[in-house]
This record gives sequence, structure tokens and C-alpha cells, in this order.
Amino acid sequence: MSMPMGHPRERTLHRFEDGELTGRGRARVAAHLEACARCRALLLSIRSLKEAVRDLPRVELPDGLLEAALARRAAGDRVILPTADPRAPRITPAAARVAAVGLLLAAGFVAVRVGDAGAHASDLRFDPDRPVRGATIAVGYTPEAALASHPTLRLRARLRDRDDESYNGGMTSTVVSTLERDADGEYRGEFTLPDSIVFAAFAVEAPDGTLVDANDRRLWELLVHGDDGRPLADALEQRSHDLMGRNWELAFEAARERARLYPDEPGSLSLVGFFEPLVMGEQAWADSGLAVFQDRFARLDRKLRGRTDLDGDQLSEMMWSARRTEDSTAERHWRERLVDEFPRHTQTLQHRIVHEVLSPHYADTAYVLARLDSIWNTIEDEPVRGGPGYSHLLGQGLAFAAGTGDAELTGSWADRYLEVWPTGEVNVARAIARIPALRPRAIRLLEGELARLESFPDDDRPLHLTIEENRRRLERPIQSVLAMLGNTLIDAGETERGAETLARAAAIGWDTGVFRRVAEAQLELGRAETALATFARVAADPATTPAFVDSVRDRLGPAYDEARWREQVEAARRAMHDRTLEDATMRSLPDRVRLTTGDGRTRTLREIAGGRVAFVTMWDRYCGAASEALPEIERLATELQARGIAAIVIAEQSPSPELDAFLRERNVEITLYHDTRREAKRGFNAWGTPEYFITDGEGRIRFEYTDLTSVLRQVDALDRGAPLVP
Amino acid sequence: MHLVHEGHEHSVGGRLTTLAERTDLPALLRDVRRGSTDALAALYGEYGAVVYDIARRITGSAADAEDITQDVFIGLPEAAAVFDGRGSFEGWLKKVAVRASLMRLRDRRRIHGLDGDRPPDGRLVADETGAAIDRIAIERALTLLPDELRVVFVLKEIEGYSHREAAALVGITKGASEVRLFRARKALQELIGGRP
Repeated sequence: MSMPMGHPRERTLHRFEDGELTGRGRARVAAHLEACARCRALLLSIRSLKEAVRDLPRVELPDGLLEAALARRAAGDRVILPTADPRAPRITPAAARVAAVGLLLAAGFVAVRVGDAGAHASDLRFDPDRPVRGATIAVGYTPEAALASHPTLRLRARLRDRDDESYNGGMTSTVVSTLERDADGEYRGEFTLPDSIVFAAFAVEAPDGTLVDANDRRLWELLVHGDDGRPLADALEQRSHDLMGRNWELAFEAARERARLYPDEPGSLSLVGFFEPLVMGEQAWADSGLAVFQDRFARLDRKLRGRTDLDGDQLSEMMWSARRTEDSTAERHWRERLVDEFPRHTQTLQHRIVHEVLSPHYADTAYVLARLDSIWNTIEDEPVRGGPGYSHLLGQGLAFAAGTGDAELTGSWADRYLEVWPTGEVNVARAIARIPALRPRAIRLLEGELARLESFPDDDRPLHLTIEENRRRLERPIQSVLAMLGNTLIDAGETERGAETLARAAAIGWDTGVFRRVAEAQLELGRAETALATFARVAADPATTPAFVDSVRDRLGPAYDEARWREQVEAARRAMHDRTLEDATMRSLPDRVRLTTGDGRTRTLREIAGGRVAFVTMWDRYCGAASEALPEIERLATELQARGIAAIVIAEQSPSPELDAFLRERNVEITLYHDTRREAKRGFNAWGTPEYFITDGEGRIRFEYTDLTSVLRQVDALDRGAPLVP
Repeated sequence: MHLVHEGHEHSVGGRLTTLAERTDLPALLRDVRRGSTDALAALYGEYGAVVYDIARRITGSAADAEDITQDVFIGLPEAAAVFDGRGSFEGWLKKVAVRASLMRLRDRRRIHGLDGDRPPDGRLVADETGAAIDRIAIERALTLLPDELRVVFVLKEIEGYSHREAAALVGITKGASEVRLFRARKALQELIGGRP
């Protein structure tokens, strides 16, 4: 016999309905229900909901998904699927830090290339996970399904020492360990960090480089720690360098961590001073960040003024922080100390070259070259050379020398340049190719660089790319070097070889500049028929003006045939679409990217685009390059809008009368949207300006960080249904 | 576009393909693993709607569901290598779709903070003329649930997983799954005005 009971708790009724309640508890509730109309009604409502939900029809499957998926596969997209349930977290502290700050991440997409795939289920562990310099590290890797079939995997790393520079352009990567699969399906290996290394980023890949697990592009990281258990200041700085261009917010996070752990290091403050305006936006920083920064600087300045043991880097960092605070007196103090105490420091060189040589004497080539030469003589034997001072000295020395047309002088600056930067062949070749006597040398340099690129050196391959993806990445640089080489050969009188080289460049990717040069070379060689086909490629590009088409008629003369011309242009246009789409990406944006209109309302990017292909510009009123580009942006926007394409210009700044006046002064009539919440910046991962993107009708990014000359062609390729070219 | 209830009819490359016509699923999967687009299209014809339906209900977003469905079929040739053929392929694929959808939600949270950006903000009016609880109102109410509640509700009530299975998929305990289901039902009843 059941004991009388009060109303069961509501959750108990749910468990009763679900069959989760058993034994005596179930019997007691059943007895209660017989006597209680209220609880029966409650149970009925639960049951009704369950039944209604059970009968829900499947939602409608939209058209086109299969075709899109097949097209993406054909274009090389791969996705590593989560085939196992989530495991209990076994994340290294380094990875945990990434995960913690990952809340800031803008990586709102599951759609990833193989190279970006899979951190959600895979796991790379280091032991010790807080290594000291030179430590030997054991590695454990739990693989993603797609990698699990290989008996061994490769652990690749980008190793950074304290002097490595920001961004990863010049960085190399290397296989540091071969991981072997054990009986449990885990992979194990080990490696030893070189003593000089303070930070490393890792990815795991198949032995043939066809599949890469790059932890959702975040990579895995290892920071070298000191004996006190803290990550080294240099390790945090190198982490921020490594993240530049990849994820500005995480880079900023590393800078802030450095400032937290090493508040009295001048480098900590200047690094924060570099990132804060970038991440906050210059205006927001001027409004609210600058005063705090000034306060922090003033405190550090008081602490360090009397110290005489600061090295050149520390003095230089104080000078830069002072400049950030707009305190010219403090800036002068730290600069004078730097210049006096470290006359050969790279920042000292930069200051002297800019303020003592270039600014006051720019027009006096002979004087500039004499001074640069004397500066070179003072530092020729420095053991460590690089940084902005050397960049100014050698870049300007080479440019001024080439401007004189003096082959011997230019050749000697080219020697100096290559002595400091042996990989600067292309820069040197570009500078010296204008001097006839030096063209053979320019050709040799370009051929050398071309051979290097075409060998697809694996140490240049970014960690997150497969070998095939890296080959595609190098197509553009190869095309650029081929174009330069072809032009130089033609200039050197080797027209036939030059035309062949340009034709190779033209075969790599769509570049109307290259096509035009190829066509002209073909004309020069008397091959009017071939030139017509190549000119047709130029004409197919929607950015080409009608005047150009008219000029082709004149230049081809009797070889011009209207019917054939139209046929060739149409064929070229189809080829252009295909080639352009080969370069397209597929990146989702967050569902909600909110922008502020000029009158203060909030609209989402999706609403503004309205399901149309959209040309999106990230713009900043205080950026010179962005301001210069405004007329062209306006022209393109007007042209595209007339054809039903959305043109969305997103400004860093909030709406203001000052901004309106700025546009009025320049006669620009453009509707600005304002990224007041930084949602666009994060969504597009666009931290510089001007940056250009093309999104498709579904609101996905299809062309990223593109350039104004390619916009019409890319929009045309995406919007084939409504051709832009008549 | 057409409504698919049980997912047996899709036009693929101009012809109708049904898996019922192909009794050799292992051979089909082998072809998929070898990169056959026809085989992949046949699998899509059979299971595309299932995958999309799961993704749509878990994420509450058509755009996310489209991306997830594409991703699942892009990744299938490689992922099919780990399907050992012992259980139901559909069951295995559904779990892959569930996990991919949960990943998408996690990514979304990174951007919008916990529980996305759609807090329940009012009651929906149930259709009193027909079913006891209007289906459209349920569909709408489901999209308004916080992600963590909607996920468990969809897995348990619509996809038919047990609490233990749902908990394993989401990475929570069985008890947490029960609590979330309870909260989800209460929130749904609030939203559709179905409370007695």
C-alpha cells in the first residue's frame, strides 16, 4: 500500500513520463496521479508536447547543396568530420590558453579546408608543457579520423627565436618529429628544442603532406618558460609576432599577457601600444585608450629615467611608447639616449637616415648617396644586421643609385642588399633591371628565384597548408616572377624568349597586365593572329575600357576580324570565370554582423546585402591608403550598384559631422556603414584598411583581401546569371 | 524544391537514384571512399535530407544547416573510412551530423557568447483550431530556445536518442541531459502558451 504523498515535483513528472522513474518511486507517482487532476493535466501537457514534436515533418531540403558540395570538393576543399564523441578534455596549458582566449575568436565557420581542420576532436600534448630552453619534449597526439590510418605522422613546427620578426612571411617550418602510432591508436614522438628557440607553433600532417591537422588554423603552441615557471617575455612577444596577420586579437592577448607578467619591460608597453589602437580602432583608442596608456607610460618613464643599464632595444621601445603618448619631450629624451649610447642600433640608423638625410636632402641625389655610403661604412662589420634601419639604408641606397643610371654604383648597392638579405633577389632585380648593363644580372637573379619557387621548397610551406595547397599558393609569386623575367628579357632584346616566358606567366592565372604585355610581344614578333586571342582576354575583363578595345582594332589592322574577335572575347570570358572561381574561397561570416547607419540605426550586413553578391570595403578615415582609394571605391560602387550588386563600405569610425565633412570635402557621395561593435572586423578578420571582400548571395566570403582591379572580374564570375559585360 | 519526409527521392545528375535500388551499401561506400561523385550523390540522395534536418533543428539556422550539410558530404569520402560497417550507416551518419552541428554551435558561441543571440523574448500563439499544439508554433519556439536546451531536446525528443546517448554526444552527464530536457520542455510550453 502506497503512502499518501503531496504533489510530486514537476521534474519527477517528466521523468515518470519518460520512463526514467522506476520501482517504488514510479508506483507512488502513479498512485498520486490517479487521485490528482492537476498533476494529470500537467502530465497530459508534457505528453501532448512529446507527441506533437514526434510528428514534426522533416524540414525542407534546399536545392543546390549537393552541387555546391561537389564543386567545393572538386576545388580542393576537404573537411575532417567529427566521427567520435567529445572526450574528457586533455588540453595542454598552451592549448588551454588558446581555448580561453578563443572566446574572442572570430572563426565562425565549420567549413574548413583540410589544412584548417579538426582541433575539436584531435589533441596534441607536450610533456613538459612548460619547457625551459633546450628541453627535450615528449609528444602525444590523438588523431582526427582522417589521419588515423597512417602508421606514422609528421610533426611540423615553426620555431622562433627572440629576434624573429612579426608576421610569418619570412619564417620557415621544419619537421621536428615523426610520430609513431602505438597500440591504443595514439601517436608518440619527441624532439629537442634548440637553445635559441623561445616559441614554437605546430601542426600534424600525413607523411606525404596530403592532409594537415592545424587545430582549426589556430595551430598548437609551445612557449619556453623561465626557471620561475613564467613564460619568457620573449616567448610571449614571439607568440604575438606569430599571430600577426593570423589573429590580431590573440596577438593582442599575448601582448597583454606579456605586459601583465613583465610590467617594467619597455617592450611590454610598446607592444601593447602597438596593438591597442589597432584592435580598438584609432578613434576609440584616442577617446578612451590613450589617457590610460599615457598614465602607464608616465609611471614606467619615472621608473626608468635614472637607469643607465638599459640596452638599445629597451631605449628604442621607450622612444616608441613616448611617441604613442604624443609626449614629444619624452620622445626626444629617449631618442637622444638611443642615438648617443647605441649609434649602430637599427632604430638609430633609421632615425638618422630619415631625419638627417632623406627629409632635408631628398632632392640631392649625390648628397644622399654619399651620406648613405658613409653610414654603411660605419656598420659594415656589425655582427647582427637587419631591422628597419637596414631596410631604409639598403632600400633607399639601391633606389637612389638605380635612379642615377650608373651601373657600377647600382651594382655595388645591389651587392650590399643581397649581402644582408640574400633572399631579396626579386627586389634587387626590379631595381636594377632599368639599367641596360645590369639586365643580364637581373635576369640571372630572377631565374634563380624562379628555380627556387618552382622547386616548391617544403620549408617555406606554411604549417596549415598541404603540399598541394602550397603549390597553389606559390602560383601567384611564380607568375609574378615570370612576368618580370619576361619583361626584362624583352627589354634586353630577347623578344622571343621573353614572349615565351610571358606566355608561361599568362597560363598560370588571370592577370590582364600580363596578357597585355604578352599580346604586345606577340605583335612585335609579327604574330597578329595569336595577339588577337590574347588581346581578347584583356577585353573580356570587365575592368577593361572600351577605348582599349578600339585601340586593339587599330593595332591589329588587317588581322582584325569582327566575328572572330567576338568569338574570342566570349571564349575568354568563359575561361576568365572558371579561372577566377578557382581562386575563390568559401568562408562563412557570423550570422549577425551588426553595423550602424549614418543616422544611428542598427542593420545587419545580411540585411544590407539583401541576398545579393556584395562588394565589401573595410575603410578607415585616418588611413592614407584608404582615403586615396575612395574615388575608385566610389566609382566601383556606383557601377556595381547600377547592376544590382551591393556595395558596402564599412568605416572604422562612428558616424560624426566631422566624418561627413571629410567626405564632402572630397566630393564623395558614398553611404558609409560604421563598425562600431567591431563585428565586421572580427567576422572578416580584417585588421588593416583598405581591405576588400566579395560575398556571395548567401552571405559567404568568396574573395578575401582582394584588390580593386580584380573586383569587377570576381563579381562577374560570381554573378554569372547577370553578366556585367554586354 | 520539394518536401522530403523520409528522404527517398532526389534528382541527382538528371536521374532519380534511391538507395533502395542499391542493396550493396558496402560497395557504395567503397566507391565514395575512392572519390566517386556518383556514389556520393547517391548517398546524398538518400541521406541529405536527414543530415540537413538534424543540422537545421540543432542549430536553429537554415544557413548553418546548409553549410553543415555541405561539409558533411564534402568530408564523407574520408570519414567513411572509419565506418566499420557493423552498425547502421544512417545511425552513424546522423551522429556525425549531430557532432558537426554541435561544433557549429560552439563556434557560434565563440562569437556571440553563451547561448547565441536569440533569447526567448515572448510567447508564440498556438493554433487552437487544429492540433493540440500547433506545429508551426513548435518549430518557431524551438528556434527561440537557448542552444544548450534545444540541442538536448532535439536529440532526445526528435531524434530519439536516449539520455545516455545524448549526453555522450554533447559531452555532458546523463543527469545534465535530463535537467536540460526538463528545462527545454518548460521553456517550450511557456513559449507556445501550452501550459495548463
